[in-house]
Amino acid sequence: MLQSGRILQFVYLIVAFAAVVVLFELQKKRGFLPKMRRLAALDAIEEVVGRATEMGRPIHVSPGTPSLGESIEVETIAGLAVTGYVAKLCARYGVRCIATAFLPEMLPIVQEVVRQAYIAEAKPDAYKEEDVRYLTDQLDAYATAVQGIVERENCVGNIVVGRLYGVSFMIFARAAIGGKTMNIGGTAYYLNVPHLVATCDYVLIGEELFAAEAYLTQNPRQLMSLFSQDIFKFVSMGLVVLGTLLFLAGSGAMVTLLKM
Amino acid sequence: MSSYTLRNQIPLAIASLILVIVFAEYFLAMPKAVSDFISGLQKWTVILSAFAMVLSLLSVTRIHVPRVMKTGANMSDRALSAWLLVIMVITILVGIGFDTPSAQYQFIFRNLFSPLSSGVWAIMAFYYCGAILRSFRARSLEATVLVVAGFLVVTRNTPVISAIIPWWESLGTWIMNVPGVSGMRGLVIGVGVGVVAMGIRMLLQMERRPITGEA
Repeated sequence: MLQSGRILQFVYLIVAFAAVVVLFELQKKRGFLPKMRRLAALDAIEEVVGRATEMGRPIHVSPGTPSLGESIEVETIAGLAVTGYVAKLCARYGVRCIATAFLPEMLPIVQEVVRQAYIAEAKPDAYKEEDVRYLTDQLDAYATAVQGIVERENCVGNIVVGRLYGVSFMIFARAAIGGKTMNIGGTAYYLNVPHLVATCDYVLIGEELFAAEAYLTQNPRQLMSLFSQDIFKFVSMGLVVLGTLLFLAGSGAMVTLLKM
Repeated sequence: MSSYTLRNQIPLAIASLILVIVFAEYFLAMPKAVSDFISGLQKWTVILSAFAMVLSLLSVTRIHVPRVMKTGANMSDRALSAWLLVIMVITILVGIGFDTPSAQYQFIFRNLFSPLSSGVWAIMAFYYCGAILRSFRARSLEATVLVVAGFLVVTRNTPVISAIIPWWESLGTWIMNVPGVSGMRGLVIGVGVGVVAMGIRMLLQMERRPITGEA
């Protein structure tokens, strides 16, 4: 028996599941693939790694600062995709990749993601365990420690994509002034978006974060899932307009539906 | 059993099973035993985090001990690493010996952590202002809109401007409440849809990186 108040959520989830599966089948049968618009922040990663290769300097990368208690979040998973991609490029071009973890439980995951990237590039010996570091789970201390690493190790790029809550935008502040380091940030946490715009050279905003893996790998299954995400976004927009019109007409039907 | 199965397939199978149970518990009215099991899972998370903390301590030690021992390295780096290790050991010992609410532990927190934290904030404020000045240049149409909106919102609370131009404050408030809030809600709806799509990708094992490290 479905719990009251969660029926619509359940229906939404089932329809979303069905849409992903149907679109995936469509892709398999007809070879249909949606085109993605360019995401400057993700394109810039290759540029940063290229610059690091030329200058022989390292890159710092992190999957963000998930809030304590919420532990590993969806944004962090998207951040791990970017971390893996950066590590892969670094392994390919022989650039030192310094990865940091904010929470203790993230350390083994970041270690595994970076190690797998080196293995995928057939350079497992180039992976250095001491370059994947746990710093602290205190936000301001973490921001300071990252800035210290970027400064001392003379990093060309500072790439932090994932959950960035609270004062984590401070990670970019020092590097933003010096001009020696290219800052690439990304978060879906809307309160921090303006701070990232102010301190980063390139920014991934909101749902762009969840498109990162599909964009970087161009995996057909993930691209189709992204396509279904866009369809649902349009459906949501339609529901907003419909709900507004119904409300203006004096009907509370949409509110009743959403409370189901 | 092959190493691939042990490292990838079994963790994925466990994760999928747990996901299905948690989903079922959220949507369906389940027996109390299942709800108790889900609550128990949260305790497992705490235990796993404790193990991860040990790994993290080892990671910090592994990085800083060789740095202290390295002869010929920068003296200030060596001294800072040594200082970090000393403080870390003292804090751990005080935390274990006296517990975290104790006066001794609170002394460390109040007299070491809090002043350092405030100091960092104070320094960062200058860097942040510099970063804002650097980025707030009207180089494109979007940047110009940002600069104009920012100027209006910041100056809306200025008594002098409001005294000269009475509608100035209302304009700033309108920017905050209408375009600002609608933009923010658009972002939140987009993120919500993105989170659902990402969750489905994880359920269908299209996103396996956190478990296996592979894309």
